[in-house]
Amino acid sequence: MLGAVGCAAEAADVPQRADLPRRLTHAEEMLVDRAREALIEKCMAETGFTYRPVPVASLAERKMGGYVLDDVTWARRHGYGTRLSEGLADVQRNDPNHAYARGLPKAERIRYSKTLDGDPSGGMLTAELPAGGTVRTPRDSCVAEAKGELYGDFPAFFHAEKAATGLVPLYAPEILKDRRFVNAREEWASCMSKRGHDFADPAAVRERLPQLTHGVSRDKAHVIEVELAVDEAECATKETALVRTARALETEYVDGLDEYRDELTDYRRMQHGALKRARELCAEYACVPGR
Amino acid sequence: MRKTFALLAATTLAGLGALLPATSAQAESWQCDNKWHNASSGYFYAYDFKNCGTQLGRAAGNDNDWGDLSGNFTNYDANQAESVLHKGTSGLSVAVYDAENYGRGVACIRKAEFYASDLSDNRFSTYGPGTGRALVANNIESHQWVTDTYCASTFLS
Repeated sequence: MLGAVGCAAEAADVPQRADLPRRLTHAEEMLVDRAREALIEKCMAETGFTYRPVPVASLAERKMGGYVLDDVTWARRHGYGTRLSEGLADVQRNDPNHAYARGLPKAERIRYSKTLDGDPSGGMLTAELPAGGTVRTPRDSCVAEAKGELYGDFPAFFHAEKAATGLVPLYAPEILKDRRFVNAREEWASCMSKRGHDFADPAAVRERLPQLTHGVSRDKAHVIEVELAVDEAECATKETALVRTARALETEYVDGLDEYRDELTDYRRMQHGALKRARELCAEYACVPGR
Repeated sequence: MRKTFALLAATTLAGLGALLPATSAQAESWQCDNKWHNASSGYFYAYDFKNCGTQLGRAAGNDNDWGDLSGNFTNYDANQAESVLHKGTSGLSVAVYDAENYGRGVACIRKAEFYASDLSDNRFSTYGPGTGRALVANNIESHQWVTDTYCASTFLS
C-alpha cells in the first residue's frame, strides 16, 4: 500500500450537502472494493474457477486526476502521478488471473470469461448518462453478483451510479466560465509566474510536462515533475484560493442539479449500505489489502 | 502524427474522463461479441473499423504515442481506431486520449462495459471557451490504464 496521503483532509474536502448522504472517503471506497474482490473470488469458486482477488487501488492512486493538484504532500511524493500510472500498467500486466484464463482450454476460457464478466450477447442492463448516450453492462456475472450483494440491488445501483458519476461534464464547463473561478485561476497563474512557471492554467502544465522531462534520466524527470507539482499545489492551496473556490463552486453547481438529486441520493445511500456490508464481510474473511 | 484542428487551444481536464456511451449499433454488434469471447485476457484492443473490424493492435500496458515506432500501437495506428475493446483487469479502466502523452481530451471504457463498437458517436471530454469536443473515432493518439475512480471523477480529485 502506498500510504495514506491526503486521507485526513479528505472527508472535509469533497462536496457536501446537508440533505445528501456524504460521499465515501477513499479509504472507505477501498474497503468496499476489497469486499467486492472477496465476493468475486467466492462466486468464481462456486462455479469451479480460481480467481485471485486483485489488490484494489491505493489511496494515492485514487487521488489521481482532477483539474488541479489539491494536496501538497501528495504532490511532493508523486508529482503528477507518472510513476503511479506506470504502476497501474504493471498491476494489469502482472494480474495472475490473466495467465490463469489464458491457460484454460478454449471452451473453459469462454465459460470463465462469461462467468466472471458476463456475456455481451446475454441480458444487459442499460443506463442513461447525464451528458448523453447510454452505457450497458451484463445483468448476470460474478462481478454483478458481488455488487448486488454489496449494494443490495445491482440494477438500481448501476442506474444510480452512472447518473451520479457522470455529472462532471454537465457542470465543469460552468465552473470554468464562472468569474469567481476565472479570478482564482488568474491569481494561481500569477503565483506560478512568480515561481518561474509561465502557465495559464493547470492543464497547460500537464501538456508541457512531457517536453520538460524529455531526454533526461528517469530520476531527473521525477525531480522536475515533483518540483512543478509542488509549486502548482502550493499556489492552488496556500498562495491563492483556487482550490477553495473550485471546491465551493463544485458544491454549488452540484446542488443546482436538481433533476439528478434522487440518483445522487440513491447512489450515496447504497454506497453506505455497501460499506456496512463490507465491514462485516472483511471482519469475517481475510479481504486482500489494497496496493 | 499531430492533429492540427482548433482543439489544440482547448482547456483539457485530463482527469475527467467521461465514459464512452453505447451507440445504437453497439447493442447489436455480434462481431464485437465474438471478438470479446475470443480476446485474450489481459489486453486492450483497438480496431481500424467499427464493430471491432480489422485489429490495429492490442496492449497489456500503456502507450503514450500511437504515432511513433514504439509501444504496442505504432505509426499508422494514430487517429485510426473506430472501435475499442477492454478485456483487462477488473477495477481498471482504459483511458483513451486525442493527443499523445495522454493529453487534451479523454474518454474511458470500463471492463464491465466490454467494448465501444462505434466511436463515431462518442466525443472526448474536452472543455474550453469556444471549443467543440472532438470525436473519438479516428482521433485516438494515446491510451493508459487508469483506476475506475479516475473515470468517475469529481472536478477536484
